[in-house]
Amino acid sequence: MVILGLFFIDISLGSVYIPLEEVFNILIGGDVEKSSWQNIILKFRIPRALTAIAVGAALAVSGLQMQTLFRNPLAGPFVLGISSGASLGVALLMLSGSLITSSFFTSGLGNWLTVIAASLGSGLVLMLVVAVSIRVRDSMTLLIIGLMFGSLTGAVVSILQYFSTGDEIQIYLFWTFGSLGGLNIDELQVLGVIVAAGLAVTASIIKPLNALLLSENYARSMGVNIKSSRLLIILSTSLLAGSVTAFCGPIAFIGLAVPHLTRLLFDTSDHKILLPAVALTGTIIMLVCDIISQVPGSQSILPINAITSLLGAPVVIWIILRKGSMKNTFAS
Amino acid sequence: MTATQHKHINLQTDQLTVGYFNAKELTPVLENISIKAYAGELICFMGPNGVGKSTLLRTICNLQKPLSGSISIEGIDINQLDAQAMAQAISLVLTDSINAGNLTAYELVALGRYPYLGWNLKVNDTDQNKIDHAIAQAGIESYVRKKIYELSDGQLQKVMIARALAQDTPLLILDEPTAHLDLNNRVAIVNLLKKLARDENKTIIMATHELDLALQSADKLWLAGYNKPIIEGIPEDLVLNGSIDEVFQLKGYDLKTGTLKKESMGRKVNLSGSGHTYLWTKNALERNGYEIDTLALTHITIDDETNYWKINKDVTAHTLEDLIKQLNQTIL
Repeated sequence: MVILGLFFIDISLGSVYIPLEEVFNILIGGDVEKSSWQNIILKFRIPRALTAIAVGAALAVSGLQMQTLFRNPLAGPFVLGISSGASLGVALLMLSGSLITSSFFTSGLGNWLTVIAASLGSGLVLMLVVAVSIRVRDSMTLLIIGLMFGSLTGAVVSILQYFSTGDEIQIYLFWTFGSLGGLNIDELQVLGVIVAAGLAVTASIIKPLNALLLSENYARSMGVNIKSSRLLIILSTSLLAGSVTAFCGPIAFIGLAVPHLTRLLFDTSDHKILLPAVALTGTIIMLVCDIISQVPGSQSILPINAITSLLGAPVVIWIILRKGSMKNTFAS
Repeated sequence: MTATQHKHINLQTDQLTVGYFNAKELTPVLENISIKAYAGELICFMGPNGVGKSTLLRTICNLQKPLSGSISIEGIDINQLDAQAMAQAISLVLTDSINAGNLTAYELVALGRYPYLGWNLKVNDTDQNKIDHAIAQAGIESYVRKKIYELSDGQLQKVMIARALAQDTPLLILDEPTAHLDLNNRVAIVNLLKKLARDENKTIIMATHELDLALQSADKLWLAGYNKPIIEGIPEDLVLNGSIDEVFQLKGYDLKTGTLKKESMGRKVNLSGSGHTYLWTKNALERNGYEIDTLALTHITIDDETNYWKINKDVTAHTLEDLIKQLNQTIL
């Protein structure tokens, strides 16, 4: 219900004012006053809101898995270097300074190129992480190695930026702000399928995730195959966080904060409840952020990445202060 | 009922050598272990730090491979057991910190059924009965609805034992289950384990450093010393034949009387009296360097009726502290 309501609010807001009853008319397929309104709603606002839903669920669920796997409250979807890998791919594409790429951008193929570059980048980092994860026994080592990959790619991006022109850097910078709006129906379908696949993988590993709450040794003693579970966790996280980053840029905060919020609100650590709850909470928060980013009544759209943190951080602080220690809900 | 009356062998090792493969080189830690553990026995596994207790326990749990020899559980070689079957054969209580503060004690106990559940975690009547039985046996009914973070250390340890019980395995292995607990809880845990070994006809192996508790409650001790084979036997035999002295190289602890050795400072007193007061008076005197000697000139009498002490019939003391002070003045 909340999601439906927010979805409706989200699509009725934007730089062009459209009366509420008209929005409703368009949704149920009725007659509309202006056909341009129908266009705006169906081609821009609905994909945008659907993107917000997919992004919110995907990032929140991958954050939850990382926090459970690494037993670390500061873990998020990007600790394994997924967003750094994507940034590297995009930076290589945008900052390499060739004329070919800039002509692609003007021709409209640029969007797919960005997606491919980001996927390749995060895929590469991820393959390295998986290769490492097969060799190492404990997940802490994996966490540190993921962080190191992140630093490495960050350094390469810095060097690329240093040798780039102002325009190129600006294009890259806009990508890092994150955007929910750039997706057309085709792209949205691809994103939707990948996110659904990632969520399905996560749903299949609820049992090992719960067992991991105790410790890896306990999980092993309860018959959980740690290595294959870890691979599945990495796989679903890369599907979820990787696809979102490829299409929408590195969207911060949601993946880190939503699992904590949900644990506090639902007062449980059981992944059977947490998984759907986290996905729902992520969706709701992402829709709210999207509504705010469009600054109701104004012409401009703020970068979504700024909004998620600007809105999210105070909310998390407020809930922690009200509900008591986060340590209680996370560790014992 | 003595341990030898049990016929059913739950765990048996044959010429087992455990240790590590380091830099393509074998590093044996404990060698030639051939021991049997019977159903219904509480076994305390003791030895100095670093002697290889954990290595042996890890090997028994099939978490690392033996360097040579074999291990069988209920007559089946553990190499023939897959992860699922191992989880239905051995349950563990470890010292690992757990990450499940927001689970209730009940949910944590229910995790013990994981080796029997499918991916969707559906609990059937058998599972439900085992969980209820485990909770009743461990005596944790009164706080089973509380969150893990609300429990005291002693309560948490009982919940962890209940979880292992719910796993319904012939073998239960505990790693220092009484560490960090106060005396009351240490005794409660050991009594609980002893009761469980009897009632549930389990083999319970507990690695511990608590010599006093082990001597008073274990059906059997396994003693591991540096560069020695593991010695097994009932506690009293191992005390009398000097095995414990040899393994622990006890300094200042008199095993035969179960007390710390007291240094006599050559001052002798004669003590007469009876009961607890006599024992504690003797303790206070010996702790302060007095030796009890019936031929000594200084004579202390205890008056049980009025609860005071007399030195040579003229000096009266109302507390032991007072008595020692008076004695020090009289004799020196």
